[in-house]
This record gives sequence, structure tokens and C-alpha cells, in this order.
Amino acid sequence: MTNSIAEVEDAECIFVIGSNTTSSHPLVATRIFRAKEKGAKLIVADPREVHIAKLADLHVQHNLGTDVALLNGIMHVILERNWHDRSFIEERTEGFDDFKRVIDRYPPDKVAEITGVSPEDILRIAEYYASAGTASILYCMGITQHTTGVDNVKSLANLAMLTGNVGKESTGVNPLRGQNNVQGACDMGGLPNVYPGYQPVNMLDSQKKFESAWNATLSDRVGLTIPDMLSGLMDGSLKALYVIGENPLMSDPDSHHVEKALKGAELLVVQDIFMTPTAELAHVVLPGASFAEKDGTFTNTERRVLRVRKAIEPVGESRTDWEIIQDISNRLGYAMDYDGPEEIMKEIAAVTPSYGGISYDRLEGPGLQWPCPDPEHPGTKFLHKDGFARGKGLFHAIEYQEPAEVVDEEYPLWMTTGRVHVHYHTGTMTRNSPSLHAEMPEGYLEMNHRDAARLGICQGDLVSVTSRRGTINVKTQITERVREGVVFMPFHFVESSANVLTNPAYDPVVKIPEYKVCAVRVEKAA
Amino acid sequence: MTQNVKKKVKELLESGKIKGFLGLCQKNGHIGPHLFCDPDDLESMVLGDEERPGDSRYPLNKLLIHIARSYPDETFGVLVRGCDERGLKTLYTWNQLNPDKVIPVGVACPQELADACECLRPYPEEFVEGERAEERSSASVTKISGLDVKDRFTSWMKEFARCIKCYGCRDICPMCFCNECSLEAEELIHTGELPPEIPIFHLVRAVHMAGRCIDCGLCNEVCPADIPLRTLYKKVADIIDEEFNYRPGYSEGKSPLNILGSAAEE
Amino acid sequence: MGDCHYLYGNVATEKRVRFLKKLLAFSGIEEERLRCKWVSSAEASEFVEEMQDFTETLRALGPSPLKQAGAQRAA
Repeated sequence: MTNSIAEVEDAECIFVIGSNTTSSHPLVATRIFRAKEKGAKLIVADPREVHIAKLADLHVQHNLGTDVALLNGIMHVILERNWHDRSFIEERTEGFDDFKRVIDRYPPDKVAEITGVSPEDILRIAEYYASAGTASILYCMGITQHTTGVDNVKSLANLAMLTGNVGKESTGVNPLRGQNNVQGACDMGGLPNVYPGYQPVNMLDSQKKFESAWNATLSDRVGLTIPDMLSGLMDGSLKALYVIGENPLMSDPDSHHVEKALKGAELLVVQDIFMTPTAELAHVVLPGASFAEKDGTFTNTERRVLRVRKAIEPVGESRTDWEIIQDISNRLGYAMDYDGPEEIMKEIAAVTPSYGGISYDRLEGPGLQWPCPDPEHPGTKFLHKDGFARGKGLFHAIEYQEPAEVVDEEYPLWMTTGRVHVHYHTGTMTRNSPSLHAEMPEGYLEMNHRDAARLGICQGDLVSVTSRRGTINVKTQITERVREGVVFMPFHFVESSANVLTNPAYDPVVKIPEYKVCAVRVEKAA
Repeated sequence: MTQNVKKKVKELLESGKIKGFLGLCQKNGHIGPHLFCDPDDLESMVLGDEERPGDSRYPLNKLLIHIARSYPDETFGVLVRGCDERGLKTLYTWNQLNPDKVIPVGVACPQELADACECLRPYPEEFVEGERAEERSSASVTKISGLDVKDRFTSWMKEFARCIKCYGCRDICPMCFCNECSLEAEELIHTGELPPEIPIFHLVRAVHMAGRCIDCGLCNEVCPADIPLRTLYKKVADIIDEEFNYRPGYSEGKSPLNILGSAAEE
Repeated sequence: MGDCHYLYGNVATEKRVRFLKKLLAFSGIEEERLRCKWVSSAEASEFVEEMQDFTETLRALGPSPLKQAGAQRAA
């Protein structure tokens, strides 16, 4: 997040797009509720009428994968009505003219045709967002999990810059990170192209820096993304895979393909706290420790580094991740001798400029938000106050592109996937909880009643859902939550795994899969 | 201002009258429940005033149930405000705690907290810390009662619509000690959706608060959707008082709605 | 009162109904929608009369607000 969670409370307008906030980020939703109580306007753009949408001042249900068109349409209206922030654009940004030439091509009528959102609603979004003193954008996987994921995010950045809603309190472009420590994992270089603190692996300076810190020879080549790894396993160029705390058999698109790839590995090692479907395929399973069994830190969605403290000793043969990694490293011939997480944090601070001032003695209580470059620095509440990392903020001229797969005669329904309030990701943890299981014991397919009537399907009927990748059987839930022509499935349930169906088409830049759009056909199960 | 509490606890521990004292401690920059067992190690004890008076409270009497069950022969001390003491009394009548095995150490709430809580009795019978603040009646209940019936419904539905079904209100409640909970009974409340079935979910809980709720307000504080549950349960307590002349934690004896209670046998 | 096949069942019911009527009213649901009347199996005409009267009361009140809440939920 560019800004902090608490700041949402004081925004005058909140634009939620592609986030099922009350289900997936309930404590962010608390801030939205409070902002609304103080009079803020809440806009929700989501193809489904999710819980937060029912509480919104305006909810629009755009067609799947049409976010760029919708955002360009909103910006078209803002420019047409002169609601943009001229001085911010002048002083803080560049690339405005090229950007404007593209935006000019997205009048509301045309956008309404692409998105299914009326010109009147596009105008209202533009008005609410642009006229607010402070407007905050909150987005989540509904924006990123598309072949145009990067374009979608850049379009949100365009919207914020166009109206000067960045670099001040209660504004910003705020991705809600899904896992407690996904921000931390990225910060630590859990990406193929960067070292900790986003220092590029293919830049000589950072390569030298880490070679000397770690006393090792390092590669200057960018590593593999998950799709690269899977195809590497398929064609034999990759022999071994070590999976830590992930369940790709369920969480990656096109599960049949993933299964084939994982079975092709000469060595598959899985480290997790439960026996996941992926771990079932592994040659070696390393039992990891849960949050309650280890010391360390998590870095949350607002860049806040927080201490986690061991409450109980690891159960059974399980061990903490850092100990397992250290042992493996030692046996593979690279000596590691850390005495614990605090010593590891000292090294993090030494090599990661944004974590430079972070140490365990400063992490009592509410923790610290990076960037925190030195021991006196109080941490950073919101980013880009006096300038952007690259200097001026760059407007990107972005054209709308269709999703990779569109409906046709054979697969006439649009399918999108997502989450429910009681389950988390592939259910590794939550489906092991009896009370959460009782709340929702099985998966379902949400279908509009008009589609259901046409197909002769009743509430609770078992249907088979087929895409170009496979078929699954699941119960139907007939609802108004999705529009005619669109179906939805949560992906937490292994016995009706939505990712058997999803399309392994990727964003060309960051290789995120298009979980949010594919084409399916639904039939009453025999 | 924990000096008097610390002194009292030290005495109790040293004399062997209690095995341990369940209170609050400040540790790692956070306030949390803590069982103090060593009379010479009371340094970290606090009363739960982080930024404002009483803003870090916990259902200590509920936690005490678990400790007491593990050590049935021991006596424990526990930190109580007015509401916590009402909780203890009610837990005694429901046979969840044995009064002979509990020694409360009281603190009186400051006026600021009594005002915010609209507390009818912001102090326990005996206290070693603080001064007796003035009692407050409930303006929040009066406000809703003043609306017309349709507006009352609309206003509650607007509040309930935010509910994320986290069960925080139930889990923090010192009076929620049932082994099976009606809120999880599928026959009563539909599962699998947000908000949960409203107003049924919240009214079922309100019914179960009758004759039980001691107005500690922890439900209200813990609610991530800021639903004014305390106001709803204050009214529940008012109704039971009006109809049966009984208010949990203030009156003696069992709830009039208790099937085996004294009042039911009138 | 007290002369109940279920022992103290009617005593408990009477108390609960007194409480519930007031809770319903505070929640914005007309308390007239809840009614409690003791009718024995030998008093058929009283039962009919009571039901007819209750039906008239409900008709005058119009659809229950809970019905509307249910419809919204199904959406």
C-alpha cells in the first residue's frame, strides 16, 4: 500500500475495485465502515455483488477483464469536465500528452459498450472520485489476476495521478496484500529478479554487494517464474523443485497441467505445516512450524514490520523454516550459522536500505513501516510525499485488451474465481478447522437465475463445469450476485477445484495468471 | 496508579491466600492478560489504560474459568472493575466459578470511562484503586427507543448489515460459556454467507443475553464492524429488570428465565 | 398457569413472550406480531376466534419487515 490502513478512515472517497474486502481483508473493511460513518462516498466496482458492494453508495458490475476500459472511461470524463489536478500533473508527472491521446479514445458510450456499465454510472464514479478532497483506491486480486494485470494497476496509478490523489494522507493506490507476510516475502527477494529490497539481480552494483555480503559467487541472470518452472519440469530442463509453504497443485491455474509437471520432477521437496495435495506428490516432505511455534517478523500490507513470538514449541518433528533452510544450505556446502531470527534481521538491515533502521529492539508494540533507512528514522506512513522513486510520476498510455479467453458457442459462460469469508487460499489451514468447515463444508458454483432457468438447473443441483482444461462437478447456488452470463466459483475446495478450469494465460510482464477470467460450459451432472 | 493493586496482590501472594493473580501486564509493547504467581515479580502489572482509561480490557473472569478448572483446589485472585465483578457474581450463580476459590481485587473506573460505558455502577463493592465515579444511564438506548418502529428496524438493519460473522462478540463474552452455541445451529441460522442472516443472527444472540449480560461492553469494543451491540444488550437487561425486577450482576439469585432458577419456581 | 402437561412449560413461555415482545419492539418489529394465548384442546371455538383475530391484526400491519430482509438476502 502506498498509504496506511488507518488513513482509509479519513478518506472522503474510497474506490474499491476487485476486492471482496469484508471477506478477505475485514480489518481494512472496518476502516471503510468508519469512513462511511464520517460521510465518505464508497464506490465499488466488482463483477459480483459482494458484501462490501451492498454497503456502497455506488456499485457497478463491469464485464470480466474490462478494468482498463472502465478506468479509461472514468478518466475521460474527468478530463472532459476539467476535474483533473493541473498543478499536480505539471509538477509531479510526465507523459501526460501521450496518455491523454489514448484516453480521448474512451468516451463513456464506447466504454459502456465494452464494460456493461452505463455512461451515467461512469460519470458518477468520476464525480465522486475527482471531487473528493482525498480519494483512496483499494484494489486486490480482481485487478491483478489478469493477462492485463500490470495494465490494470498502471491505469489505477494514472487515475490517482490525474487527480493528485497520491503522496498525501488518506489517498493513494493501495493493493491489499492477501497473506500476512506476502509483502515481507517480496521485500526479502522472494521474486525471480531481485535481491532483498528490490535490488535487481542483473545490476552489477547489487550483484557485487550481495557477493561480498554472502561471500559467494552470484548469478547475474533473472531466475524462473512459476510458469517457467512448470514448463521446465515438463521439458526436463528443470530437475528438482523445493516448494515452501505453497500448494501449487491447487493454487496454480490448469491443475491437470501442474500435476503432470510436478510428477515430472526428479526431486520434489515440499515444506508445509499440513499434508497438502502438493505434498502428497513430494519425494520428501519437511514439516514446517506454524505462526504460533516460531519467532520472527511478518511484514503486512501497509509495509509494517511486526514481531511474531513463539507461544509453544514446534509440535512433533516440525521445525522453523529458517532452521530447515540453514541445515539444507550447510549440507549443500554453503555454510550458514545464524543463531536465530534476530541475527538474520541484523543482516537484512545491513543489506536492505528500506529496512536499514529496523532492529528487534525497535519492533516492540506496533512495529515499524518501511522505508526506515536508519536507526533514528520513525518509519514511513505513506509513500511518494515529495517525489516518486523514479523522480516524476509517469503516465502510461494504455489501451484496453480483451482477456486471453473469451466466450464462444462451445464455452458460452464467463467464469471468475475468488474467495469466501471462512476459507483461506487452498484451505490448507482453514479446512482443518471444524468450525470453519461447518460454516462452509463444500464448494459451489454461483449462477444467475436466468442462466439457471435456461439450463434447467435448480438450487443445489449438481452440475458439471467444463473449460478447455478440464471438468469438475459442483453444487449450484442460484443468485443475483452475478449477472446473467457470468458464473463464479471459490477455489478453496480440492474436491471441486476451480483451478482445474482456469486459464494458464499470463501477464507478459509479471507472469501472473488470469484466474479471474475463463470460458466454461455448465451442464446438469448425470 | 497500580501501586495499591500491586501492594494488595503482593500481600495475597505472600500470605499464601492465593496461588496466582490474574491481571494485566505490559509486555513487548502490548497489554495482555497475565497470571502473576511471584510476589516479587509484579513490575509489569498494569490496569489496561493504554491511550485512554480502560481501553485495553480483557474478559479476565472468563479466562479464570479455564485456570480454575485446571487447578480446582487452588484459590486465585483476579483484577475486577465494576463490570467484571458483576461478571464474577453471575458466573457464580451459573456454577462456572466457585466463590470460595476467587478473591477479587477491585479498581474503580474514572468518570471518563463511566461516561463512555454509560455504566450503572462503575465500581466494584470493594476497591483498592481509583475513586467512585458517578453512575450513568443509557442515552444510547433512549435514543433508539425514541425512533418510530420502522426507523428502529432500518437503523438496526443498517448496523447489522456490516457484520462479518467473526463471532468476536461471542468469543470475548465472559457470559458465553456454553458448550454448544445456537449461533452455530444451522437450523436456526443459515450458514455460508455475509452478512449472516440478519437480524436473526444478532437477535438470537440478544435473546441469549437475557438474564446474563452484565454490561461490560467488550463485545462492542471487539466488533470489527462497529455494531452497537452494547446498546442492544443494555435494552435486553432493562427489559428483564422492568418485567422481572432482576438485573444480572446486581440482583441476587438466578435469572428469571432460567428453567431451574428460583424465579421460575415462584 | 402452572397446570401444564409440560410442567412449568407455560410459565417459562409466558416469561419469554413478555421479554420477546419488548425486544421485538426495540428491534423495530411490531410486538403485535407475537401473541401468546392459552387455549385447551377442548376450546375449539376460542382457538378459531383467536386465530381470526390474529390474522386481522397481521393483515392490518402489512408484510413483516423480516420478509423484506429475507428477500434482500436471497438476492
